[in-house]
Amino acid sequence: MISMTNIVKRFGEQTVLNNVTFNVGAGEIFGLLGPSGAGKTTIINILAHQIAADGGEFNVGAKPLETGLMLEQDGLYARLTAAENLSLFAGIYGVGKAKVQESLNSVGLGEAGKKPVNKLSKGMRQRLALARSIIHKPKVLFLDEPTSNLDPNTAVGIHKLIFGLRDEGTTIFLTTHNMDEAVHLCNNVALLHKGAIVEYGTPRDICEKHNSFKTVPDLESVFIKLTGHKQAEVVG
Amino acid sequence: MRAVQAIFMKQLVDLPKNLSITIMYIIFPLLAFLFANFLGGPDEYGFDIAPAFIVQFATMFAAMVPMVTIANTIAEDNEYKSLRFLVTAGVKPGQYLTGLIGFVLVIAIVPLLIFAFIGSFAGMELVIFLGLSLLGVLASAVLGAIIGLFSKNVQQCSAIYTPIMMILGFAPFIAMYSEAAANIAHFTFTFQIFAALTQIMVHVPEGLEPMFDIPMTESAIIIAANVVIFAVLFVVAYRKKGLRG
Repeated sequence: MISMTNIVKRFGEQTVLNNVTFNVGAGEIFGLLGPSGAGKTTIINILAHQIAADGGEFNVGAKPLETGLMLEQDGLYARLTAAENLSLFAGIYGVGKAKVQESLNSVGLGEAGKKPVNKLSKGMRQRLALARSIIHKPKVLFLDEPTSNLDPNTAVGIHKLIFGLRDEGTTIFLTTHNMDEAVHLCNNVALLHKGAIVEYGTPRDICEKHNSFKTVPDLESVFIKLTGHKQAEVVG
Repeated sequence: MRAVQAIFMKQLVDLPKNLSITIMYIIFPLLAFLFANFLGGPDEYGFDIAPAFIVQFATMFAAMVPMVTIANTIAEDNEYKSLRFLVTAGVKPGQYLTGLIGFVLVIAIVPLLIFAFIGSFAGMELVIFLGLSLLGVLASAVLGAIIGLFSKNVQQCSAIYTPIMMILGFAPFIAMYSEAAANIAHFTFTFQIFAALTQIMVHVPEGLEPMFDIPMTESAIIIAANVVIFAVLFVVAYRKKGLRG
Protein backbone atom coordinates (compact mmCIF):
# COMPACT_ATOMS: atom_id res chain seq x y z
CA MET A 1 0.00 0.00 0.00
CA ILE A 2 2.87 2.34 0.86
CA SER A 3 6.43 1.91 -0.31
CA MET A 4 9.62 3.91 -0.19
CA THR A 5 12.74 2.91 -2.07
CA ASN A 6 16.12 4.53 -1.48
CA ILE A 7 14.58 7.88 -0.54
CA VAL A 8 17.11 10.67 -0.02
CA LYS A 9 16.28 14.10 1.35
CA ARG A 10 18.65 16.97 1.98
CA PHE A 11 18.06 20.31 3.65
CA GLY A 12 20.99 22.41 2.47
CA GLU A 13 24.20 20.55 3.22
CA GLN A 14 22.53 18.20 5.68
CA THR A 15 21.27 14.80 4.53
CA VAL A 16 18.23 14.08 6.70
CA LEU A 17 17.12 10.88 4.93
CA ASN A 18 19.67 8.48 3.54
CA ASN A 19 18.40 5.65 1.30
CA VAL A 20 15.26 4.96 3.30
CA THR A 21 13.46 1.83 2.10
CA PHE A 22 10.38 0.09 3.53
CA ASN A 23 7.00 -1.35 2.54
CA VAL A 24 3.67 -1.11 4.33
CA GLY A 25 0.94 -3.65 3.52
CA ALA A 26 -2.75 -2.76 3.07
CA GLY A 27 -4.71 -2.66 6.33
CA GLU A 28 -1.53 -2.64 8.39
CA ILE A 29 -0.53 -0.37 11.27
CA PHE A 30 3.06 0.61 10.58
CA GLY A 31 5.17 2.47 13.12
CA LEU A 32 8.18 4.63 12.37
CA LEU A 33 10.21 4.98 15.55
CA GLY A 34 13.02 7.31 16.39
CA PRO A 35 14.09 10.28 18.46
CA SER A 36 13.31 13.89 17.59
CA GLY A 37 15.26 14.95 14.52
CA ALA A 38 15.62 11.40 13.20
CA GLY A 39 13.61 12.25 10.06
CA LYS A 40 10.19 10.79 10.94
CA THR A 41 8.17 13.89 10.09
CA THR A 42 10.17 14.40 6.90
CA ILE A 43 9.12 10.92 5.76
CA ILE A 44 5.45 11.69 6.49
CA ASN A 45 5.76 15.00 4.67
CA ILE A 46 7.18 13.25 1.61
CA LEU A 47 4.49 10.55 1.63
CA ALA A 48 1.76 13.18 2.07
CA HIS A 49 3.17 15.17 -0.89
CA GLN A 50 4.04 18.12 1.35
CA ILE A 51 7.71 18.16 0.31
CA ALA A 52 9.63 16.55 -2.54
CA ALA A 53 12.38 13.98 -2.08
CA ASP A 54 15.80 14.57 -3.61
CA GLY A 55 16.19 10.96 -4.71
CA GLY A 56 14.54 7.55 -4.70
CA GLU A 57 10.94 6.55 -5.29
CA PHE A 58 7.82 6.24 -3.22
CA ASN A 59 4.27 5.12 -3.79
CA VAL A 60 1.08 5.55 -1.78
CA GLY A 61 -1.69 3.28 -3.00
CA ALA A 62 -4.38 5.89 -2.52
CA LYS A 63 -5.25 9.16 -4.22
CA PRO A 64 -4.42 12.32 -2.24
CA LEU A 65 -8.14 12.73 -1.41
CA GLU A 66 -8.17 9.20 0.04
CA THR A 67 -5.46 9.99 2.57
CA GLY A 68 -5.75 11.59 6.00
CA LEU A 69 -3.01 13.56 7.71
CA MET A 70 -2.37 14.53 11.30
CA LEU A 71 0.81 16.43 12.09
CA GLU A 72 2.33 17.67 15.32
CA GLN A 73 1.44 21.25 14.28
CA ASP A 74 -2.31 20.80 14.06
CA GLY A 75 -3.15 23.60 11.57
CA LEU A 76 -6.56 24.14 13.17
CA TYR A 77 -8.36 27.47 12.81
CA ALA A 78 -8.08 28.87 16.33
CA ARG A 79 -11.00 31.32 16.17
CA LEU A 80 -13.43 28.75 14.77
CA THR A 81 -15.19 26.19 16.92
CA ALA A 82 -14.29 22.51 16.80
CA ALA A 83 -17.42 21.79 14.73
CA GLU A 84 -16.72 24.70 12.34
CA ASN A 85 -13.21 23.37 11.74
CA LEU A 86 -14.61 19.98 10.82
CA SER A 87 -17.43 21.53 8.75
CA LEU A 88 -14.83 23.17 6.52
CA PHE A 89 -13.27 19.80 5.73
CA ALA A 90 -16.65 18.05 5.49
CA GLY A 91 -17.48 20.66 2.84
CA ILE A 92 -14.20 20.15 0.98
CA TYR A 93 -14.55 16.35 0.99
CA GLY A 94 -18.31 16.54 0.34
CA VAL A 95 -19.13 14.06 3.12
CA GLY A 96 -22.19 15.74 4.63
CA LYS A 97 -22.66 17.64 7.88
CA ALA A 98 -23.69 14.54 9.86
CA LYS A 99 -20.07 13.37 9.68
CA VAL A 100 -19.01 16.37 11.76
CA GLN A 101 -20.76 15.26 14.93
CA GLU A 102 -19.92 11.62 14.21
CA SER A 103 -16.21 12.45 13.98
CA LEU A 104 -16.32 14.59 17.12
CA ASN A 105 -18.01 11.74 18.99
CA SER A 106 -15.42 9.23 17.76
CA VAL A 107 -12.60 11.16 19.45
CA GLY A 108 -14.59 11.95 22.60
CA LEU A 109 -15.25 15.59 21.72
CA GLY A 110 -19.00 15.24 21.24
CA GLU A 111 -19.71 17.88 23.88
CA ALA A 112 -17.00 20.29 22.73
CA GLY A 113 -18.26 21.01 19.24
CA LYS A 114 -19.28 24.57 20.02
CA LYS A 115 -16.04 25.48 21.80
CA PRO A 116 -13.57 27.69 19.94
CA VAL A 117 -10.33 25.86 19.25
CA ASN A 118 -8.34 28.49 21.18
CA LYS A 119 -10.26 27.44 24.32
CA LEU A 120 -9.42 23.74 23.93
CA SER A 121 -6.59 22.02 25.81
CA LYS A 122 -3.62 20.71 23.85
CA GLY A 123 -4.91 17.15 24.15
CA MET A 124 -8.37 18.17 22.93
CA ARG A 125 -6.83 19.97 19.97
CA GLN A 126 -4.90 16.83 19.15
CA ARG A 127 -8.06 14.76 19.21
CA LEU A 128 -9.79 17.32 17.02
CA ALA A 129 -6.91 17.14 14.54
CA LEU A 130 -7.36 13.37 14.51
CA ALA A 131 -11.11 13.78 13.93
CA ARG A 132 -10.34 16.06 10.96
CA SER A 133 -7.96 13.48 9.49
CA ILE A 134 -10.58 10.70 9.54
CA ILE A 135 -13.76 12.64 8.69
CA HIS A 136 -13.70 11.30 5.11
CA LYS A 137 -12.81 7.71 6.07
CA PRO A 138 -9.40 7.71 4.34
CA LYS A 139 -7.79 4.59 2.87
CA VAL A 140 -4.40 5.67 4.22
CA LEU A 141 -3.90 7.64 7.41
CA PHE A 142 -0.65 9.39 8.35
CA LEU A 143 -0.34 10.15 12.05
CA ASP A 144 2.63 12.08 13.40
CA GLU A 145 2.98 11.44 17.15
CA PRO A 146 -0.79 10.89 17.59
CA THR A 147 -0.73 10.48 21.37
CA SER A 148 2.28 12.57 22.41
CA ASN A 149 0.35 15.13 24.50
CA LEU A 150 -2.49 12.96 25.71
CA ASP A 151 -3.21 11.61 29.16
CA PRO A 152 -3.11 7.78 29.43
CA ASN A 153 -6.90 7.35 29.34
CA THR A 154 -7.30 9.47 26.23
CA ALA A 155 -4.34 7.73 24.62
CA VAL A 156 -6.05 4.38 25.19
CA GLY A 157 -9.18 5.80 23.52
CA ILE A 158 -7.12 6.89 20.54
CA HIS A 159 -5.51 3.44 20.36
CA LYS A 160 -9.00 1.88 20.22
CA LEU A 161 -9.94 4.31 17.46
CA ILE A 162 -6.79 3.39 15.50
CA PHE A 163 -7.58 -0.33 15.86
CA GLY A 164 -11.16 0.37 14.75
CA LEU A 165 -9.95 2.19 11.65
CA ARG A 166 -7.55 -0.65 10.85
CA ASP A 167 -10.41 -3.17 11.22
CA GLU A 168 -12.37 -1.13 8.69
CA GLY A 169 -9.48 -1.46 6.22
CA THR A 170 -7.57 1.78 6.74
CA THR A 171 -3.80 1.50 6.41
CA ILE A 172 -2.18 3.49 9.21
CA PHE A 173 1.30 4.94 9.11
CA LEU A 174 2.30 6.48 12.41
CA THR A 175 5.38 7.92 13.98
CA THR A 176 6.08 7.71 17.66
CA HIS A 177 8.93 7.76 20.13
CA ASN A 178 6.89 5.70 22.58
CA MET A 179 8.21 2.13 22.22
CA ASP A 180 5.45 0.57 24.32
CA GLU A 181 2.84 2.22 22.13
CA ALA A 182 4.57 0.87 19.03
CA VAL A 183 4.65 -2.66 20.43
CA HIS A 184 0.97 -2.41 21.38
CA LEU A 185 -0.27 -0.89 18.11
CA CYS A 186 1.94 -1.81 15.21
CA ASN A 187 2.09 -4.86 12.97
CA ASN A 188 5.47 -3.74 11.68
CA VAL A 189 7.93 -1.06 12.75
CA ALA A 190 11.04 0.59 11.38
CA LEU A 191 13.66 2.08 13.68
CA LEU A 192 15.00 5.32 12.25
CA HIS A 193 18.30 6.79 13.37
CA LYS A 194 20.03 9.79 11.81
CA GLY A 195 17.96 9.48 8.65
CA ALA A 196 18.59 5.78 8.07
CA ILE A 197 16.53 2.72 8.94
CA VAL A 198 18.56 0.60 11.35
CA GLU A 199 15.97 -2.15 11.91
CA TYR A 200 12.71 -3.21 10.30
CA GLY A 201 10.13 -5.94 11.01
CA THR A 202 7.52 -6.95 13.55
CA PRO A 203 8.25 -5.77 17.12
CA ARG A 204 8.46 -9.42 18.24
CA ASP A 205 10.92 -10.44 15.50
CA ILE A 206 13.14 -7.41 16.13
CA CYS A 207 13.25 -8.07 19.86
CA GLU A 208 13.88 -11.79 19.42
CA LYS A 209 16.69 -11.01 16.98
CA HIS A 210 18.36 -8.80 19.54
CA ASN A 211 17.61 -11.08 22.51
CA SER A 212 15.44 -8.42 24.05
CA PHE A 213 12.25 -10.37 24.52
CA LYS A 214 11.26 -10.84 28.15
CA THR A 215 7.55 -11.24 28.88
CA VAL A 216 6.78 -8.63 26.24
CA PRO A 217 8.97 -7.33 23.39
CA ASP A 218 11.38 -4.70 24.76
CA LEU A 219 11.93 -2.41 21.76
CA GLU A 220 13.40 0.32 23.95
CA SER A 221 16.40 -1.86 24.80
CA VAL A 222 16.88 -2.74 21.14
CA PHE A 223 16.80 0.91 20.21
CA ILE A 224 19.39 1.85 22.84
CA LYS A 225 21.58 -1.05 21.72
CA LEU A 226 21.40 -0.01 18.07
CA THR A 227 21.70 3.75 18.43
CA GLY A 228 23.20 4.46 21.82
CA HIS A 229 20.25 6.78 22.47
CA LYS A 230 17.75 6.45 25.27
CA GLN A 231 14.42 7.70 23.90
CA ALA A 232 13.43 9.55 27.02
CA GLU A 233 16.79 11.36 27.18
CA VAL A 234 16.67 12.41 23.55
CA VAL A 235 13.06 13.48 23.51
CA GLY A 236 12.72 14.82 26.99
CA MET B 1 -16.59 24.28 -6.77
CA ARG B 2 -17.15 22.38 -3.50
CA ALA B 3 -13.76 23.51 -2.17
CA VAL B 4 -14.35 27.13 -3.23
CA GLN B 5 -17.72 27.10 -1.47
CA ALA B 6 -16.20 25.56 1.68
CA ILE B 7 -13.42 28.19 1.80
CA PHE B 8 -16.00 30.94 1.20
CA MET B 9 -18.18 29.66 4.08
CA LYS B 10 -15.17 29.36 6.38
CA GLN B 11 -14.29 33.00 5.70
CA LEU B 12 -17.89 34.01 6.36
CA VAL B 13 -17.90 32.24 9.74
CA ASP B 14 -14.44 33.56 10.63
CA LEU B 15 -14.94 37.24 9.77
CA PRO B 16 -17.15 38.22 12.75
CA LYS B 17 -14.66 36.45 15.06
CA ASN B 18 -11.68 38.32 13.63
CA LEU B 19 -12.29 41.70 15.21
CA SER B 20 -9.24 43.48 13.82
CA ILE B 21 -10.47 42.77 10.28
CA THR B 22 -14.20 43.16 10.98
CA ILE B 23 -13.64 46.64 12.37
CA MET B 24 -12.10 47.72 9.06
CA TYR B 25 -15.33 46.84 7.26
CA ILE B 26 -17.24 49.01 9.75
CA ILE B 27 -14.91 51.94 10.40
CA PHE B 28 -14.72 53.38 6.85
CA PRO B 29 -18.51 53.58 6.27
CA LEU B 30 -18.91 54.86 9.84
CA LEU B 31 -16.35 57.62 9.32
CA ALA B 32 -17.99 58.50 6.00
CA PHE B 33 -21.35 58.76 7.77
CA LEU B 34 -19.96 60.95 10.56
CA PHE B 35 -17.97 63.24 8.25
CA ALA B 36 -20.80 63.56 5.70
CA ASN B 37 -23.39 64.35 8.35
CA PHE B 38 -21.42 66.51 10.75
CA LEU B 39 -18.86 68.17 8.47
CA GLY B 40 -20.71 68.01 5.14
CA GLY B 41 -23.33 70.40 3.85
CA PRO B 42 -23.05 73.41 1.52
CA ASP B 43 -20.15 75.81 2.18
CA GLU B 44 -20.16 79.56 1.37
CA TYR B 45 -20.00 78.75 -2.39
CA GLY B 46 -22.94 76.35 -2.14
CA PHE B 47 -20.58 73.38 -2.51
CA ASP B 48 -21.82 70.27 -0.69
CA ILE B 49 -18.66 68.42 0.32
CA ALA B 50 -20.49 65.46 1.91
CA PRO B 51 -20.14 63.30 -1.27
CA ALA B 52 -16.40 64.13 -1.31
CA PHE B 53 -16.01 62.57 2.13
CA ILE B 54 -17.89 59.48 0.99
CA VAL B 55 -15.70 59.14 -2.11
CA GLN B 56 -12.54 59.56 0.01
CA PHE B 57 -13.51 56.89 2.52
CA ALA B 58 -14.85 54.56 -0.17
CA THR B 59 -11.51 54.86 -2.00
CA MET B 60 -9.54 54.16 1.17
CA PHE B 61 -11.82 51.19 1.91
CA ALA B 62 -11.32 49.71 -1.57
CA ALA B 63 -7.55 50.27 -1.38
CA MET B 64 -6.88 48.91 2.08
CA VAL B 65 -9.45 46.46 3.40
CA PRO B 66 -9.48 43.72 0.74
CA MET B 67 -5.67 43.72 0.64
CA VAL B 68 -5.39 43.38 4.42
CA THR B 69 -8.10 40.69 4.57
CA ILE B 70 -6.52 38.45 1.93
CA ALA B 71 -2.89 39.03 2.99
CA ASN B 72 -3.73 38.30 6.63
CA THR B 73 -5.69 35.16 5.83
CA ILE B 74 -2.91 33.66 3.70
CA ALA B 75 -0.24 34.68 6.23
CA GLU B 76 -2.23 33.09 9.06
CA ASP B 77 -2.74 29.91 7.06
CA ASN B 78 1.02 29.86 6.39
CA GLU B 79 1.96 30.56 10.00
CA TYR B 80 -0.33 27.96 11.55
CA LYS B 81 0.23 25.43 8.75
CA SER B 82 -3.48 25.25 7.95
CA LEU B 83 -2.66 25.42 4.25
CA ARG B 84 -0.92 22.04 4.44
CA PHE B 85 -4.16 20.39 5.46
CA LEU B 86 -6.14 22.16 2.76
CA VAL B 87 -3.60 21.01 0.16
CA THR B 88 -3.75 17.45 1.52
CA ALA B 89 -7.54 17.61 1.26
CA GLY B 90 -7.10 18.29 -2.45
CA VAL B 91 -7.76 22.04 -2.42
CA LYS B 92 -6.00 23.57 -5.44
CA PRO B 93 -4.32 26.98 -5.06
CA GLY B 94 -6.76 28.43 -7.60
CA GLN B 95 -9.75 27.16 -5.60
CA TYR B 96 -8.28 28.53 -2.36
CA LEU B 97 -7.73 31.97 -3.86
CA THR B 98 -11.08 32.01 -5.65
CA GLY B 99 -12.79 31.26 -2.32
CA LEU B 100 -10.88 34.02 -0.52
CA ILE B 101 -11.17 36.70 -3.23
CA GLY B 102 -14.77 35.76 -4.02
CA PHE B 103 -15.64 36.18 -0.37
CA VAL B 104 -14.03 39.63 -0.20
CA LEU B 105 -15.80 40.74 -3.40
CA VAL B 106 -19.18 39.65 -2.04
CA ILE B 107 -18.73 40.95 1.50
CA ALA B 108 -17.35 44.31 0.26
CA ILE B 109 -20.72 45.00 -1.38
CA VAL B 110 -22.23 45.57 2.09
CA PRO B 111 -20.04 48.56 3.10
CA LEU B 112 -20.14 49.87 -0.50
CA LEU B 113 -23.95 49.88 -0.36
CA ILE B 114 -23.75 51.72 2.96
CA PHE B 115 -21.49 54.34 1.33
CA ALA B 116 -24.02 54.61 -1.51
CA PHE B 117 -26.90 54.94 0.94
CA ILE B 118 -25.12 57.69 2.90
CA GLY B 119 -24.42 59.55 -0.35
CA SER B 120 -27.92 58.84 -1.73
CA PHE B 121 -26.30 57.46 -4.89
CA ALA B 122 -28.94 55.98 -7.19
CA GLY B 123 -29.45 54.83 -10.76
CA MET B 124 -26.41 55.11 -13.03
CA GLU B 125 -24.41 56.83 -10.26
CA LEU B 126 -24.89 53.74 -8.06
CA VAL B 127 -23.98 51.32 -10.85
CA ILE B 128 -20.77 53.21 -11.70
CA PHE B 129 -19.89 53.61 -8.02
CA LEU B 130 -20.30 49.86 -7.35
CA GLY B 131 -18.60 48.85 -10.60
CA LEU B 132 -15.48 50.97 -10.14
CA SER B 133 -15.24 50.27 -6.41
CA LEU B 134 -15.52 46.50 -6.94
CA LEU B 135 -12.86 46.64 -9.64
CA GLY B 136 -10.67 48.41 -7.08
CA VAL B 137 -11.56 45.78 -4.45
CA LEU B 138 -10.43 43.08 -6.90
CA ALA B 139 -7.11 44.86 -7.56
CA SER B 140 -6.53 45.29 -3.84
CA ALA B 141 -7.44 41.64 -3.12
CA VAL B 142 -5.01 40.28 -5.74
CA LEU B 143 -2.29 42.54 -4.34
CA GLY B 144 -3.12 41.13 -0.90
CA ALA B 145 -2.66 37.61 -2.26
CA ILE B 146 0.85 38.53 -3.48
CA ILE B 147 1.70 39.95 -0.04
CA GLY B 148 0.30 36.79 1.60
CA LEU B 149 2.57 34.62 -0.57
CA PHE B 150 5.65 36.44 0.67
CA SER B 151 4.60 36.40 4.35
CA LYS B 152 5.71 33.61 6.62
CA ASN B 153 3.54 34.93 9.44
CA VAL B 154 1.03 37.64 10.31
CA GLN B 155 3.65 39.95 11.81
CA GLN B 156 5.75 39.88 8.65
CA CYS B 157 2.60 40.32 6.60
CA SER B 158 1.59 43.55 8.38
CA ALA B 159 5.15 44.86 7.99
CA ILE B 160 4.78 44.40 4.23
CA TYR B 161 1.23 45.63 3.72
CA THR B 162 1.31 48.69 5.99
CA PRO B 163 3.54 50.87 3.76
CA ILE B 164 1.83 49.61 0.58
CA MET B 165 -1.58 50.31 2.10
CA MET B 166 -0.51 53.81 3.17
CA ILE B 167 0.95 54.66 -0.23
CA LEU B 168 -2.06 53.38 -2.19
CA GLY B 169 -4.65 54.69 0.27
CA PHE B 170 -3.22 58.18 0.42
CA ALA B 171 -1.90 58.44 -3.17
CA PRO B 172 -4.98 60.36 -4.41
CA PHE B 173 -4.62 62.93 -1.65
CA ILE B 174 -0.84 63.32 -1.92
CA ALA B 175 -1.33 63.84 -5.66
CA MET B 176 -3.32 67.01 -4.92
CA TYR B 177 -0.24 68.68 -3.49
CA SER B 178 2.51 67.64 -5.90
CA GLU B 179 2.49 67.40 -9.66
CA ALA B 180 5.31 64.87 -9.62
CA ALA B 181 3.33 62.69 -7.22
CA ALA B 182 0.20 63.18 -9.35
CA ASN B 183 2.04 61.93 -12.45
CA ILE B 184 2.93 58.69 -10.66
CA ALA B 185 -0.35 58.35 -8.74
CA HIS B 186 -2.24 58.69 -12.05
CA PHE B 187 -1.40 55.04 -12.76
CA THR B 188 -2.60 53.64 -9.45
CA PHE B 189 -6.07 52.13 -9.13
CA THR B 190 -6.78 54.14 -6.00
CA PHE B 191 -6.16 57.49 -7.74
CA GLN B 192 -8.37 56.49 -10.65
CA ILE B 193 -11.20 55.29 -8.38
CA PHE B 194 -10.99 58.54 -6.46
CA ALA B 195 -10.85 60.69 -9.60
CA ALA B 196 -13.67 58.86 -11.39
CA LEU B 197 -15.97 58.81 -8.38
CA THR B 198 -15.22 62.46 -7.60
CA GLN B 199 -16.16 63.46 -11.15
CA ILE B 200 -19.49 61.66 -10.91
CA MET B 201 -20.50 62.11 -7.28
CA VAL B 202 -19.08 65.47 -6.27
CA HIS B 203 -21.12 68.18 -7.94
CA VAL B 204 -19.01 71.32 -8.28
CA PRO B 205 -21.02 74.59 -8.34
CA GLU B 206 -21.01 76.59 -11.56
CA GLY B 207 -18.01 78.83 -11.93
CA LEU B 208 -15.67 76.47 -10.08
CA GLU B 209 -13.17 74.24 -11.89
CA PRO B 210 -13.80 70.48 -11.49
CA MET B 211 -11.05 68.77 -9.52
CA PHE B 212 -10.41 66.14 -12.24
CA ASP B 213 -10.95 65.88 -15.94
CA ILE B 214 -10.20 62.27 -16.80
CA PRO B 215 -12.42 60.31 -19.22
CA MET B 216 -14.28 57.50 -17.44
CA THR B 217 -13.00 54.90 -19.92
CA GLU B 218 -9.39 55.92 -19.15
CA SER B 219 -10.01 55.43 -15.42
CA ALA B 220 -11.66 52.05 -16.00
CA ILE B 221 -8.79 50.93 -18.28
CA ILE B 222 -6.12 51.97 -15.73
CA ILE B 223 -7.93 50.19 -12.87
CA ALA B 224 -8.36 47.06 -15.02
CA ALA B 225 -4.67 47.28 -16.03
CA ASN B 226 -3.77 47.36 -12.32
CA VAL B 227 -5.78 44.15 -11.83
CA VAL B 228 -4.02 42.48 -14.78
CA ILE B 229 -0.54 43.61 -13.63
CA PHE B 230 -1.19 42.35 -10.08
CA ALA B 231 -2.53 39.06 -11.46
CA VAL B 232 0.61 38.59 -13.59
CA LEU B 233 2.81 39.47 -10.60
CA PHE B 234 0.85 36.98 -8.54
CA VAL B 235 1.46 34.20 -11.08
CA VAL B 236 5.19 35.02 -11.12
CA ALA B 237 5.31 35.14 -7.30
CA TYR B 238 3.30 31.94 -7.05
CA ARG B 239 5.68 30.10 -9.36
CA LYS B 240 8.56 31.27 -7.20
CA LYS B 241 7.08 30.85 -3.74
CA GLY B 242 4.23 28.35 -4.13
CA LEU B 243 1.28 28.09 -1.80
CA ARG B 244 1.81 25.01 0.30
CA GLY B 245 2.09 26.30 3.84
